[in-house]
Amino acid sequence: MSYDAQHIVVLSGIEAIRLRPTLFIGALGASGVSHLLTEVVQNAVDEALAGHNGRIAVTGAADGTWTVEDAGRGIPVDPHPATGRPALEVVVSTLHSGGKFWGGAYIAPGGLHGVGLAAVNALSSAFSVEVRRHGEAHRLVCARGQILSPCAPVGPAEGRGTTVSFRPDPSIFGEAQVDLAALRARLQAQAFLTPGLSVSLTLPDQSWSWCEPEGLSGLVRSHNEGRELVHPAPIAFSGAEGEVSVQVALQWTQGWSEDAHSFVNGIHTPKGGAHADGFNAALLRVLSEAAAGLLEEGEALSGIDLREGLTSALSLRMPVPAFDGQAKAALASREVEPLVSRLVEAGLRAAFSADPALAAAVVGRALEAGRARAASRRASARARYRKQNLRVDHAVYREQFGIRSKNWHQSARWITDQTLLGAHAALCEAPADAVVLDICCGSGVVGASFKGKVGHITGLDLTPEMAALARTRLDDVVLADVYDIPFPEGRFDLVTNREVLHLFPHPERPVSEVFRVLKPGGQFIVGQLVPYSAVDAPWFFRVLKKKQPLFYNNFLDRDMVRLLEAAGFVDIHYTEVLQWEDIDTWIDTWETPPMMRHQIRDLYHHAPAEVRAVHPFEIREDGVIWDCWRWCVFSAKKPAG
Amino acid sequence: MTSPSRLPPPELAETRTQDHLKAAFSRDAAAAQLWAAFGRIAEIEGQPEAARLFREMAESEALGAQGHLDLLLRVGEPLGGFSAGPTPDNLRAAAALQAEQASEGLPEMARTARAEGFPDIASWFESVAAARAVHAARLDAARSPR
Repeated sequence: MSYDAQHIVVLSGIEAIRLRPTLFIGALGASGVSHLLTEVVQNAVDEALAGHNGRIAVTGAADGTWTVEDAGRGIPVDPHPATGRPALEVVVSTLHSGGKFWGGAYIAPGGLHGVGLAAVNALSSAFSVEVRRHGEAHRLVCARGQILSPCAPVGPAEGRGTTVSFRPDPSIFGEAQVDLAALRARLQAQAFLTPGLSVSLTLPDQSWSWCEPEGLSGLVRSHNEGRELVHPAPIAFSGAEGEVSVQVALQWTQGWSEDAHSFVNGIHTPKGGAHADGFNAALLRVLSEAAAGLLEEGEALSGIDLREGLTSALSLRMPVPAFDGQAKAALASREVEPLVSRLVEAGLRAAFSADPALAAAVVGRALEAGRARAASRRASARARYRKQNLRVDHAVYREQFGIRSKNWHQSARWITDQTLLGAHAALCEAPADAVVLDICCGSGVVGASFKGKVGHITGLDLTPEMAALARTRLDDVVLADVYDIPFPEGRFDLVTNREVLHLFPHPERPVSEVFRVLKPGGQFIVGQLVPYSAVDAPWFFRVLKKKQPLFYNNFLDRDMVRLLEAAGFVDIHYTEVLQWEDIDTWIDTWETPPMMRHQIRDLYHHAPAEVRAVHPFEIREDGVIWDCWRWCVFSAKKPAG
Repeated sequence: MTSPSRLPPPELAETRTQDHLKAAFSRDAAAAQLWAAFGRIAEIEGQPEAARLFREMAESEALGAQGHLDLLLRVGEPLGGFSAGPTPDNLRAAAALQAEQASEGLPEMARTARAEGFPDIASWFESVAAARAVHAARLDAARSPR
């Protein structure tokens, strides 16, 4: 077959967008719809940044139509010199058109440089723009990129501004819903980034509005609400060199996770990039000087330890930024990195020299984190199981769970999940006067879920802090080791346990201890988090091991059955419970070092297709990860007589 | 005089050169993974220059591994010595390799890890073995005519 000029297809910009929407907006579905909305909002934000707009109102209608109204200069409607058509028509129907390619109208815009409104128009089943300029309103109506009713005056107008309405095309996006939590966070962030700008969001049943005179400090404060703080007020400063400027606010908390928010020309860059790297380098440089006298021999301050518990907001304004891809997740303009670093360094130096005690506190904290981590590595090594004497180092477990007891119920959702607790209690076949033992009882919530069904509930735990919590829920609690349960054979009607056997180098030992202390015919109810199948097992192992250094057994459900059978249990069956866990909260914990937290997030971001096919999880637009965990709650009986 | 290029090429199979290609393939394939992991660590630590260096090395080393493989595939795949090239052969080789790992290689590694006092590493090998068994079954299914 010949191949000549007639085979070369020339698509108009609009057709190209409709044919390959992901090239322009990154993804379809909810995230694509959000991207369209962001495009329109960003145009209004750019007007605000240029000093011409004080208000952005976003309205979502029940039929999926979004409307964004601003009080800016209004998109020009006069004839465009090159085409003779009204400029507004050119902007909404031509790729790579708009006021942001050459200087003059905008210094540091965040919009997509002309793909913007044309892309939104192309991907919308209904699209209209109303412009209010010089006392007159003009209106333009389109659908799927085609102009239905050209730009024309529709009467007098008060004030000025632009109103864009669009309905994402259902044939491209389906009935995808925008992630409202993320949208709210993004609009609020815009208010933080432009102090004085009022931003509102109105939905059929609810509405919100923001005006944040405090700027980035307010953003940091709002994220740190409810967190224990290292210093009372955020550090805030700004700096500029030529057309590049930065604004920074930061505050350390007593938490473990880093919470970094970076922006370029008002666009959130969830994966950071050049500006975030410059910020991190400056932070390490300035605080390394403060640490000079405090280091032990051979010790170095690490940037990742410094950022533990740090909430920061960094806003960069620059002409013509380059991003990694149209979705703008990271800033690619490497040339600004040294400049940002210099500006941040100057600001930090001034802040810390004004408050030397703060520098010492922050450095002390980072050094402590590094030292604790080294100690915990040594402790994990000590926990190594030695075949000859079946011993584990109790101090390792006591230390970790002692620390975690301080916020145990807030440290993950599964711990108090009522459906999961209910699944344990639902398997109970013990008599109403049954004597029950809850082993490794933690705060006692599992044992307590049997209340009303049984007679007396004893808890057993290794950690004094946990035992103290359990005493508020159970009839009595003993401090003991499950490798040697301090009760005679045949004492209990029911033993229960949840999410602990994976933490033992030798789980056969506690299971056989449970078998021993049960009466003949007695029941063991044990819940365990398991992979969905062999397919996601290696991925799940890596997530769990990075989170919990004491993770020893990646049980599949069949492994749990074998473990119980090997101890002599019979009549084994189990129920499955699916539970959505907030991964960011779950990994915000003492035993999970910051490097591992990053790597756990990477595992979700780069999960193999095979894993995604069997193991549901969601990465929300704002980067928050939710994993649908699979629990199996097993029931097993000690043979009667 | 006969031009040297007209001589038949020597047989690669069972030469030291084949051994060297295999060794270089294993080493460079492993190194590509190692540099990629180092690159991510550097990125997380906030050292973009080092991260870029590692990432670029990872790409080049992966290309090196693929180059060793181009030459090795003339005489079969390098992991088990099965004939390879066209997809039916490749499916057969992969099925045999994955089944061997699932039923012998990895379980043996798990037993050793447990005996030496590393139950977590034993559990890791067992998890990988379980996933390999699934792959072996998928490969078998892909081989059988529908």
